[in-house]
Amino acid sequence: MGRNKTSEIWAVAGGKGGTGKTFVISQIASYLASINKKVILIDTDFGGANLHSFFGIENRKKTIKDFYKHDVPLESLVVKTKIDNLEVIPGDINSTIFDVIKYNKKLKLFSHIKKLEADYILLDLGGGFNKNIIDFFLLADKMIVATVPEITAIENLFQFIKSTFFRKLNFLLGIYGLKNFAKDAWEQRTEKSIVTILDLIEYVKEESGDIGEIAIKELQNFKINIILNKVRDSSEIKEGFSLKSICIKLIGINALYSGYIEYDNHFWRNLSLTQLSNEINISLKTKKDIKRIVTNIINEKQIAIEISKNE
Amino acid sequence: MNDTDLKKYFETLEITRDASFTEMKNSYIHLRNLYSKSNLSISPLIASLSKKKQKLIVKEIDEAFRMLEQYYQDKKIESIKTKKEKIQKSRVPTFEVIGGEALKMIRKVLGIELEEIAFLSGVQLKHLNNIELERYDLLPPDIYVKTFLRKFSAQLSLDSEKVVADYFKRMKEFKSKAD
Repeated sequence: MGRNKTSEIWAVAGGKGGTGKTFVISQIASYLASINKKVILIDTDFGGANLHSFFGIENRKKTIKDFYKHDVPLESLVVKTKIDNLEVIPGDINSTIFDVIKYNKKLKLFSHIKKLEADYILLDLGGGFNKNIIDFFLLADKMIVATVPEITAIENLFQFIKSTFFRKLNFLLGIYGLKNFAKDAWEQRTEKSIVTILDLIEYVKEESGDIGEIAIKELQNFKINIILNKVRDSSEIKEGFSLKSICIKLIGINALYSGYIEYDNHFWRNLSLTQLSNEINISLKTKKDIKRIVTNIINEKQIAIEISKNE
Repeated sequence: MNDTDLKKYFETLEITRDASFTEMKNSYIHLRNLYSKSNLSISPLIASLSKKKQKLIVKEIDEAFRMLEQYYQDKKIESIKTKKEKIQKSRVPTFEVIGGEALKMIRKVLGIELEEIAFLSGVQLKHLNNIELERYDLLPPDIYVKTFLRKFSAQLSLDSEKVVADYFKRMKEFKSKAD
């Protein structure tokens, strides 16, 4: 059975808690559903699942854990929400973070996800940077990162993107028989004057000849879409452009700044679990922010930079 | 400038080919600050670069801006030239008497912005605007207005002597009514 060609997989990663990643992805999902796209939102967070909070899904009889532990078919785990066109596969709040997903089970999940019928399949990845998250991330058609304009969050995210890219690079080189080439070069980077990943790529290109070139060319498809959440002023907006720049110039990947979401005071102050299961009170401004972000992601565009007059 | 170089410059300034001049310039300013001054959130990551590497990046950014500034300039002139060539072929309305409103109408049909007229003719935007709006009270002495009208009509490929004659006729009529 081949994959339903029309479904597009979007993965959203964001590092450790507080970035509002789940909020962002749930709003993206809601918006897509509102423009009549069929959306399935999958909570892949095995240990800290909280996606259900955003859609008031109760009575979660079966979760993604059942797929892993009891081989329950993925399609049967899909749950309707109060929002038309939007369905969810919840994660599992009861699991411990030490549950390890065996590699073959991961592959199985991948192939089942690809077979789900929807216009968009959104993957909410957990916080942190373990191998599972990186692999889920690389699976997606569109790789999206969401963070807040704070130094630790941005640094964390930068390391995540670096790791993801490095993994992809090694994977590609592995296909062409240069499996540990990049790894070894990176380990000897001081001798070889390699500082950034970009330097590493240059090195690989020079030393491995045509094969390296081919692998590197495939990396052109590696594109990150950046979303900045809880933004309060114009200098924080610009952090998105800065993050984009260091991804491009220090790692050597394509990155687009899809947009930002302004800090919605009203929403965060009134957040409570009971509130969440009913209509979520999102401001009109936030809805506009989300619409712009999603439109940019779909069209592979980004926002334009503005310099305010006092700079 | 060949296409490969052009592509490189756009990539260096981290903008897409359809970016406006303002966007290009803003991106340049932002990037230059990012890699030469210190910026709160990102600076630890940029500090991992050697001074030499930072200087190189700044140099590339400067060069990209210089080249793209020229590119946008050339493109602007080119697009105006193309519009002028279309003038002959487009359906420009005819007027018995050409006044400010007529000039504006013709200009709009040709799809030319007043800023472009200002740019190419060297006549200040405010004068062109007042000419179109027939704000006679705000116009400089007649001898200047005549020159401006000639330059304005040249950009629209109109008979400049007719435009001057018509415009002054209307102006005289208006002024005599006011008295």
